[in-house]
Amino acid sequence: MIRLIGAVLITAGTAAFGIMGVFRLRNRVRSLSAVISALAAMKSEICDRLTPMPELLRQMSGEATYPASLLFKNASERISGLGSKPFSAIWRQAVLNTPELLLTPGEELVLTELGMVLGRYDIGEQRSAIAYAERRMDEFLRRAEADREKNSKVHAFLGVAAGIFVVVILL
Amino acid sequence: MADMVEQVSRYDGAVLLLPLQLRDAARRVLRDDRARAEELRLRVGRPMSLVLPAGEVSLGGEKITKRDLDGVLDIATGASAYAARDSVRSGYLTVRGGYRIGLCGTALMKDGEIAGFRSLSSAAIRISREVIGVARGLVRDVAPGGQLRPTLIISPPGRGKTTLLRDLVRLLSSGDEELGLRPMRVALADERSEVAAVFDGMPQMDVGGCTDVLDGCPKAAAVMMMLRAMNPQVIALDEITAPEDIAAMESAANCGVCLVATAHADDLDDLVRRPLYRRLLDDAVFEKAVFIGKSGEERTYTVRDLEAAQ
Repeated sequence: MIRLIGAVLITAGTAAFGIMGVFRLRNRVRSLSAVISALAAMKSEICDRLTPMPELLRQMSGEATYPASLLFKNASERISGLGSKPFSAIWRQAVLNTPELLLTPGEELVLTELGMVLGRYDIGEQRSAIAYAERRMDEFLRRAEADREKNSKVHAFLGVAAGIFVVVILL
Repeated sequence: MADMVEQVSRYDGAVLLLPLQLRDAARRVLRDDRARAEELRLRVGRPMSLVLPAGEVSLGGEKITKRDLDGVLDIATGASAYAARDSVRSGYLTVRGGYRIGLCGTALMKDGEIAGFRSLSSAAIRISREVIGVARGLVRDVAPGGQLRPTLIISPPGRGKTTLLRDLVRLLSSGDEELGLRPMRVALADERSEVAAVFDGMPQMDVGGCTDVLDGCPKAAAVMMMLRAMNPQVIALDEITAPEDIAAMESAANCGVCLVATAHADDLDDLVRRPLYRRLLDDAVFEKAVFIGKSGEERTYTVRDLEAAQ
């Protein structure tokens, strides 16, 4: 009986590990979608409404979808440091300090590079830069979706299979 | 003493508009100079300098880079230069606290007009200061018996015309029982945001409780708009520079509105010699002239009756 309970617990544990992997794949897709939507809203606020950056960050931290909202919240909290550091550094810190975004280094690079242009005088330049970031993030999203489709079942299967394997070995 | 503290704190406020790496050099300035400083000047490839009443002095230290100027723009606009593009296009920015930043660089032209700057090469952070009460001594002359006469403030650049106009507007707008002045509705045409320094809809300088400010708009258009919309008793404007300004003032004067304005001229003879102002004098738009002179570092104010002078 004790062996049976142990076997179930081990299998459940490894299965949970696999399921966490599945959730991570799903959450990455959600996060990238949220970032892309936020970039589109940001483009409109900057290029069409000329919303000043501090107001935009405050607004987006309340209106953007989670976890993109956290990125704007982090940037909004840091913007008082303007003067001691340029806005690009503030934006970069906000991107790198929002682990909830589940971004890969390549995705982080796209967002941090965007910070080099944000807030500048030329609206056309900002529109192009945000549109470029949107396109790149969209490519990452499609990859993440494909990854989720391809690997979700694999993660779940491997989780359960690893549990069974360990149980068989131990028995 | 309190005045000195206030003047130094105005300077310290201007220093906060500089990027961090430039602040130390600006803070090393002697306290007396901080109290008297008129501008901080930044030019790419040169060390930062300070404009004092006696002239411009270098602050030494690191040479200014283009990145420093971008930093100033970033701080002044809250990383939102795009939102201030209309103002930047005019070559200046008014920021919180009433500071004014003049910009210079390679202009970006569009349809024959300046659309902004391709890159910045210099910036001047103007430390404007209110001198509350500076116009009090003139009120009995320009408003005998509490009745304001149309007044033109005249001086060469840098003598404090704008400061005097601001305080006169404040007095006229708020009234002063001691001087026999009742509060009047004053419409202020503040094209370059130098008088009231409006930021986010709020004048950063005290221009009185009954003053309506129209800024960022050419003076002639502003005068006509305020005449129609705000029913002013007094219209005040800084620096008459164009024939359109004169035409607008004539219209206002014909509507019974009292005018207070400033003009660049060394003295009355210089004023009469200039064709632009000659018309104003011929049409007797103004009755009083206030001349700002300078004796050492002290400013002197002389009120003359323009009709008598002619």
